[in-house]
Amino acid sequence: MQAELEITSLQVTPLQPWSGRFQAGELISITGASGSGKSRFLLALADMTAHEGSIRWRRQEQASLPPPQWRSKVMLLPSNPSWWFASARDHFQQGPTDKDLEALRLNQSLLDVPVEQLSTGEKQRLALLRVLDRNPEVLLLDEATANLDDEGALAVESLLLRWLREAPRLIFWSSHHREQIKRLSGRELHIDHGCIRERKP
Amino acid sequence: MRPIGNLELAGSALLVLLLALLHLRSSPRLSRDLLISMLRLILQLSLIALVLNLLFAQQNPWTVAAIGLVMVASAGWEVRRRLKKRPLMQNLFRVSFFSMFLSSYVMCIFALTLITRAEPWYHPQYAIPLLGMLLGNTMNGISLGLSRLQENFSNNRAVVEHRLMMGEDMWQASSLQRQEALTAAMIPTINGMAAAGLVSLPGMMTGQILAGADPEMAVRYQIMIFLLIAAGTGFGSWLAIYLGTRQSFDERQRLRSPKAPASH
Repeated sequence: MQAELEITSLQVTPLQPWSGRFQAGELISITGASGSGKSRFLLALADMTAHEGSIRWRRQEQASLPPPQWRSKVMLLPSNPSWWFASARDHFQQGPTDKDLEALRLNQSLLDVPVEQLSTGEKQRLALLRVLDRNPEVLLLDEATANLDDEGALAVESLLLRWLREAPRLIFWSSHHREQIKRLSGRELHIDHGCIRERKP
Repeated sequence: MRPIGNLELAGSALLVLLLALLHLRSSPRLSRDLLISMLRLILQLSLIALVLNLLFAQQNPWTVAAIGLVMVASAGWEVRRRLKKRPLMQNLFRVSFFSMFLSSYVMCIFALTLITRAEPWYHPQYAIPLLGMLLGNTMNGISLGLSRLQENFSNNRAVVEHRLMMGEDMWQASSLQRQEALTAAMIPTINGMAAAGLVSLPGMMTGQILAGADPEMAVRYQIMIFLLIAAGTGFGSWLAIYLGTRQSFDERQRLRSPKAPASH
C-alpha cells in the first residue's frame, strides 16, 4: 500500500535523522520529555524551521510546493495559539458550525467577545476550530488539550476522531497525557536523547 | 539682510557652552555629547558653505549628482546606526539606501523640472538644498519605519509565525505589523503639516524670513517643501517597509531570527 505521508532522512536539530511512513486515518502520538524536540519535529513537518531530508504528502514534495500551500495542507497548531484580531470571529474564514461549537461546549456568542476576555481553555478550543476552519489535510497538534479539564479534553478528542474519519486525513499529536495516548493513538513516536523510536502506545 | 559675523555666532555658542557647563558635574556624558555635536554642526555646515560656493560656480550636473549620492549613503548609514537591536532583516543598508535614493531623487527631479524650473534645472542652488531637505526627512521616516518594523516582528513573532502556520503568505502574515510601521513612519510628517504655522514656524521659512525674504514667497516655498517631504517620506518608507519585509523572511517564508548569521 502506498504511504500517504512519507518522511525520508528527516534531520532537524536536536534530532537524529529519521524516516517513517504513515497512512491516512492514522493518529500518531509524539511523546518525550519537555525540550526533547517534539515541537521541533512538528515545526519541520510544517516547514516552519530549517531541516534536511524529504517530506512528501500524497506524492507532493514539501520543497516543491510554495510554503503557504504546503502549510495549508499540513497545518500546525502551536501550544500557545496567538490571536491578532479583536474578536475570535474575525479569525475565521467560514465560521464554525453550531454542531462543532456544541461538541466543544462553546457557543456562537463567545465568538464576538474581545479575545482577551476569553479563558485559556476557551481560547484553546476556539484555536482548534479555527485551524479546522482552514481545511487542512494533516493536522499537527502541539499539546492541544494542555489547558483543558478531562471533560474538555474528551470533547476535543471525539471531535478530532470524527474529523479524522471524514476524509483521508492524518493527525500528529504531542501529549504528556499517558491515558489519552493509550486511548487514541495507533502509533507512538517517542523521542529520547535526540532519537525518535516507534513504540506501542 | 543683516550679516552675522563670527562674534555673533560665538555669542550663540556661548549659550550652549553654558548649558554644557551646567551639566558637567551631574552628567558629564551629556555635556560631552552636547559639545561634540555643537562642534560637528559648526564644522559640517561651514564645510557645506564652502562646497556650495564651489558648486554654484561650477554648475556641473554630475558633481551635483555625486554629492547627492554621498548624502544618500550617509543617510543610509545613519538609518543602520539608529537601529538599537540586532536586525533580523538582511541587507539593511541596501534596503534603506535604495528606498531613500529612489524617493528623494524622484521627488527632487520632479520639483526641479516642474516646479522651481531654474536655468539649468539642476542648478545646485536649488538642487542641493532641496535634496538635503528631502533626504533629512525621508531618512527620519525610513529609519522610524524600519526600526518599528523590526520591533513589531520581534515582539509579535508568535503572531506572525502562527499566521504563517495557518497557510497565509508572508504579506498577509505581516500585514498588521507593516501597517503599524508605516503609520509610525508617517506620523511626524502628518503632525508637522497639521501644526505648521499654528504651533511652530517651519525652520526653512524662518531662515528665509530672517534673511530678508518676502514672507509670502517664503510661505509658498515652505508649502511646496512640506508637500514634497510628505510624498517623499510616504513613498520612501512604504518602499523601505516593503523591501524590509522581504528581507525579514527566508526563502521558505519563515521569519528570520536575529541570531542567524547573514548568508550574503
